[in-house]
Amino acid sequence: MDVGHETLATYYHVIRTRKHGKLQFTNVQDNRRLILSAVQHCCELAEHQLPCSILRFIMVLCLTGGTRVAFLCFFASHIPITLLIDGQAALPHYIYPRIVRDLLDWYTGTFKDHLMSRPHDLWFTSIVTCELIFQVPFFFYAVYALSNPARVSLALMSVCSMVRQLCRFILFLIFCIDVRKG
Amino acid sequence: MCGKGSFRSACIAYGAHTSTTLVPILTSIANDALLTTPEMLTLLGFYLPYLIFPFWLLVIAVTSDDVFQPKSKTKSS
Repeated sequence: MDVGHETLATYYHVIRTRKHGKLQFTNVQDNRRLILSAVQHCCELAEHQLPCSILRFIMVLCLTGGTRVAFLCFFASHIPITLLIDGQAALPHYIYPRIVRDLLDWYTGTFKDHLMSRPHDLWFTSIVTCELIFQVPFFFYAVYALSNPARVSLALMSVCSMVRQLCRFILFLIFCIDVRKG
Repeated sequence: MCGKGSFRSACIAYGAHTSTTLVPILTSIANDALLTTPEMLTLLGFYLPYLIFPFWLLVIAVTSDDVFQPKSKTKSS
């Protein structure tokens, strides 16, 4: 990469000195060719350098490396927060232990979060209910998928094959019952 | 293979659902007359990760064929 920069610098230097007339140039075409080769060199350099910068951007746009760990931490922390704190807005308060209820009271008192303080708004309760029904299963799935990404397909395949075997077994039972009746 | 299909679809559904439910929550916090500006910013700071992460996941899932593979790799393979 440094060599490339040096070559570019020399190209630039040569073109510049020629423009100032410090160097004798033979004809205009020679200068143009020099510029063209400089541009070509720039393109080659860009081809080598761009993947590095784009790759860094792509790493943010896929679940690998630091991004995967960040999402893993996010989902892993989301499970207890949703079940223990957010759940209190939708589920009856008596199913929660006293320490968790006190934690929520401390939170609402300190940060003045009116959404989480009792009595809860009905729209907020409905959103939390959706969270408990739809999102919590996804959190477990996401934590499993992010902690071992290579095994997700295997797990899904094994679940699918189990379901298939179960269906076959049920069909076989129905068939046996039919045969006996018939 | 693992980042395609059902996990990617679930990521899209989760991302779209959560980022849209955060809109009324953040709006109600931002328009709360009882809160001072620092209190409001603290609360927004608590709730913003729950907008940023799902939206980020949504962008990842929508833009890539396989969420666990960089885009260039999935295209070449």
